[in-house]
Amino acid sequence: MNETNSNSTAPHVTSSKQPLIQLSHVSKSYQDADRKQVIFNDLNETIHSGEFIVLMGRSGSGKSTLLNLISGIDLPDSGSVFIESNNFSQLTEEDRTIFRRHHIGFVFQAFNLIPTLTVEENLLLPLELIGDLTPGDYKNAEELLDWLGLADRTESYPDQLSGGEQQRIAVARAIIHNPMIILADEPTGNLDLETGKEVIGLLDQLVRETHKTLVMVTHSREVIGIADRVLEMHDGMLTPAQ
Amino acid sequence: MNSLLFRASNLYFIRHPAQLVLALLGIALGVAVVVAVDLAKDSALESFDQATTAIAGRATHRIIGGPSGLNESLYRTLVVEQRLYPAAPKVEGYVSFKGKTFQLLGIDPFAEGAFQTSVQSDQFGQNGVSNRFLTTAGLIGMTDSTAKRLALNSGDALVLQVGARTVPAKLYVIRDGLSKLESRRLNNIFVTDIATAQEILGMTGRLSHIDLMETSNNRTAFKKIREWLPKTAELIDHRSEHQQIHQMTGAFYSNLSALSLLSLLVAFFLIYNTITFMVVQRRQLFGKLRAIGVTRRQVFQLILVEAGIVGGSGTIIGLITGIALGHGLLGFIVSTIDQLYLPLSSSQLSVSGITLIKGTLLGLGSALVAGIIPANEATRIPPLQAQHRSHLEIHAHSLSTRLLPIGFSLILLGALMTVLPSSSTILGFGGLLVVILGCALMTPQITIILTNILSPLVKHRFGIMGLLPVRSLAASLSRTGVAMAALMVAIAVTIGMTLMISSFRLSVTDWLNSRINADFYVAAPTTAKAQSNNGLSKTLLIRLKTLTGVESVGSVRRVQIETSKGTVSLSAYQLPARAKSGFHFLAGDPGIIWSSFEYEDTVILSEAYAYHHTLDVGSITTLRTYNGQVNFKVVGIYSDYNVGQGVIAMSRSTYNSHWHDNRYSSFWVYTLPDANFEQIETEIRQSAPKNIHLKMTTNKEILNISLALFDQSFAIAGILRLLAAIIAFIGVFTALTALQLDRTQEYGVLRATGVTPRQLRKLVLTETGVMGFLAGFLAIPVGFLIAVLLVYTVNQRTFGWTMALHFDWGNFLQPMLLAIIAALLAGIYPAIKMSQTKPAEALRNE
Repeated sequence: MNETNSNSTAPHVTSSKQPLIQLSHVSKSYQDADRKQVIFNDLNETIHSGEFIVLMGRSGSGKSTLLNLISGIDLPDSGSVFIESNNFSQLTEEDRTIFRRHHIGFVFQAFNLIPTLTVEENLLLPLELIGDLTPGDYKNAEELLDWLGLADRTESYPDQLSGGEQQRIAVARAIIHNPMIILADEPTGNLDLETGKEVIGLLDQLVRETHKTLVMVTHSREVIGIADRVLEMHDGMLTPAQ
Repeated sequence: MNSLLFRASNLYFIRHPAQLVLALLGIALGVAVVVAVDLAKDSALESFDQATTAIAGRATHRIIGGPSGLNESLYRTLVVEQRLYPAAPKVEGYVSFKGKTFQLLGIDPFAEGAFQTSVQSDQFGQNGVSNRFLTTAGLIGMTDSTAKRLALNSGDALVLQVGARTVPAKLYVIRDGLSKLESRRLNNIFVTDIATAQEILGMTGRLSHIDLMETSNNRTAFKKIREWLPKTAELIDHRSEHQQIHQMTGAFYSNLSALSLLSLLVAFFLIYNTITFMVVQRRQLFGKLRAIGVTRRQVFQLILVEAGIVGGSGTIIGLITGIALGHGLLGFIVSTIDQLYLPLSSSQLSVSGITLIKGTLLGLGSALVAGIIPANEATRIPPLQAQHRSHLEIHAHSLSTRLLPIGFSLILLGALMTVLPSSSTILGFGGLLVVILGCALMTPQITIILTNILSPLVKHRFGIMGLLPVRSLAASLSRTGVAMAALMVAIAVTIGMTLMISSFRLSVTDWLNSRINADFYVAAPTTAKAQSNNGLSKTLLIRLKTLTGVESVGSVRRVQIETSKGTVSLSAYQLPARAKSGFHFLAGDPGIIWSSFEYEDTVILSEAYAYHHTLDVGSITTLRTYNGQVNFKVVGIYSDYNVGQGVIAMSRSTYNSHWHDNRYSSFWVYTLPDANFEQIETEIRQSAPKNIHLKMTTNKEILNISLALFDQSFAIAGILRLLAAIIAFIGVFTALTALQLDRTQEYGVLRATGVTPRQLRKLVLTETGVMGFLAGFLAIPVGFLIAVLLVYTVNQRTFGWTMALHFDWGNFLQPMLLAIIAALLAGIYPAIKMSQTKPAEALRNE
């Protein structure tokens, strides 16, 4: 079942304080019934390595679409999305997937852990996609769970965990393979205020300690204080939030 | 019903038309198979009954004689002296024409009137037709449709093969006066007058039987019949004619009914599967509707109305398809019966209302029953829980745990039903079905157990991605459970039937190899049924014995003796030592059997006869002979796989002393070791008189013909098994498509995490392959159990035979492979569809 690609075949990304994500003249629209809905029109933005970016905006303004473009899940109608020197528009579906498996971690609003896998297996899945699991991988997973305070839930299934616990596991899954970029789509949307704060704190701590780039979509104003930059999506344009 | 509510619910079908098509297809196919088998089976049986009605009409009784019938003077005594009428003399026999066997019926057209048979009034009584028959020698009549089928016209000269003889005749086509029904009834019958029939069939001065009708006017005379009737004749209730036919073909129809019931069982699973999906996939919607104030009752009604509409539509399609499919199956059934039992006209499919009602009940009833269970479940739980899939799976797991002991109890009950000391075929098949149902109910829980056992092994060997499909099988039990059970049942039935048929074939081959040990078999070219009427002479037997190179010659005379309990097949043997060695006795000591066989009133019975008449060694059986009722002692029971109700066998000397019959059905020629086969064959042919055409067969040819017939008689079983497999395949396909649809979002997450489309395809196909493997794996013990029950109990009750169960791994592995391939094929479309779904779209479902 393992179809792994070594780092040597994956598009290469270096980690340093330099432009990491570049959106160049990006346009994107959707055909909604008989109406064309323009999401972005000639969007340009640069995100640097190690930055903590918060994306805000109304529902349907295109925040999640932007995350999809950054991850290569979706492609722009025109323009280019660069991760360092890799232009997604010029990569095949297969190459973009392999790029994602190595360099991007996802955190979703609905946690989206695989219900048929245990906590540990959910955690190990991204590592297995990169290559055969080693004893070191198991140790990493254990340490990560210990650090998250979930060491006793290794063999639990997602539906046996609380929402907060599930989201902490989802965060751990997003970072366990040491990606350069973490994309979080309303990670606190399904959590109560207190638990949401915990998860945000966790993400912030991880980004700062491991120098990851975090792009987070959220409606929570409390995040503004800890983010490096807050961008607001409005009428297909990204502008610094007031 | 609130129309907005209905629209909200049905939007699902508009968005997922493939699901609707699959649901309709599943129900339609399930109904179609059951309807087709039923219609074909009933139509074939009806054509038998029609042929009987055509000849016997309103007759209530029949006077029958021995193997060579009645003396025709009996008819004169009956009508002139005893004044017992209405009475109609009949001469019946079988003739071959253009390689096909037809019934030749000799009648007295003027005597037929009161019986309202198809050969009485109008067409025979008017327009001088009757006179034409009486005044033209060798004239035989057939219906216009039969003549057209045979490309013949009135006045054509015919050459009929009657036993070993060829007889000329002239054709008269009956064009007027026959209704469509009458014409259909006479489809395979040649009609002529009594004298011509006697002449053609070599029954001069003899009648086959005399039909009688008891009325208020002749009741007194009727009561006195038995007082003056000669010992050689017997008065029987006419219903026994029907009984004979039903007895003869009973086993064949029982098998068809069993297969039809198995199709019904698989069809029910499929329909249940289909309707359950329709409900469980919209569980969230129902939860939301409940949350905004829709009552439980309204949701329940909504689900049932939908199930009714889908079930009803599928049923209508299924009924139409079933009728079309029935036409095809009827051809198979007719040709099998024609070869094995009796000549049967090419029947037309008659669509009976009862079968259509049965099909409707199956389709619509199953859909409604299938709707009630999930509807009840969906409305019983709180609205919030209804929106969570995990609750559904918890419920499915808890249900499967509860079903485990129920299934086990059903297996025990079914096994008990099959081993009860009863000869009821229905009880046997019923028991078998209960066992299968029990196994099906246990399938979901055993699937969970098996996946739990497999998971660590798979994880170790294939990693987490390999583990996913195995785990999801058990985790999605609400979707996979019924489909797995349906596939398991279809495969298990295939294994069971294959094992039974291969065991049966092996037993028959062994039996034929030991019994058919003569070098040449010489017989009149005729069917088994016609052997009573025709035969070979003793002169020929004496000639054969004197031929150079011939070591010994055995003989057999096969006759049908009609009794009040039906027809009894009697074989009178003259057996040389080598022929005796071919008999394998299941009861009785061969030494004692053969020493008493030639000299006393003893008989040996075929296993089937002994079973059906509950006779054993030492029992006494009574037969009507020319000397009146005679008791015969049973000294042995031998193995015999001929179809029908079995055979009573006795020595030729015993037969000669009780019946006045000097004819032989066939001779068995044993040659010396250095004999010249070709020379002997030529000399045998030359031994026959000029107008006699002998049918000569070697033991190898008989073996091949017998096995070909065997295979043909089970060909229909193969078709029905295939149809059951197709039904199961659609079940799995529906389940998988629904399952993949459910998991779109999960696949979106996997794609976001870095799983490639190729890996996703592999994942889906592995899941379906595992499903097929587990269903196949579970089907092995169940199939073996079915085979054991079929071989040791059901078969004995149906045919009266026992056989050894032949165990061949190939019989297990092939169906298992079939299950895996079927499941993989069923997974191809969902796999491609899922891998093509854009992850962004899949994630938008979030």
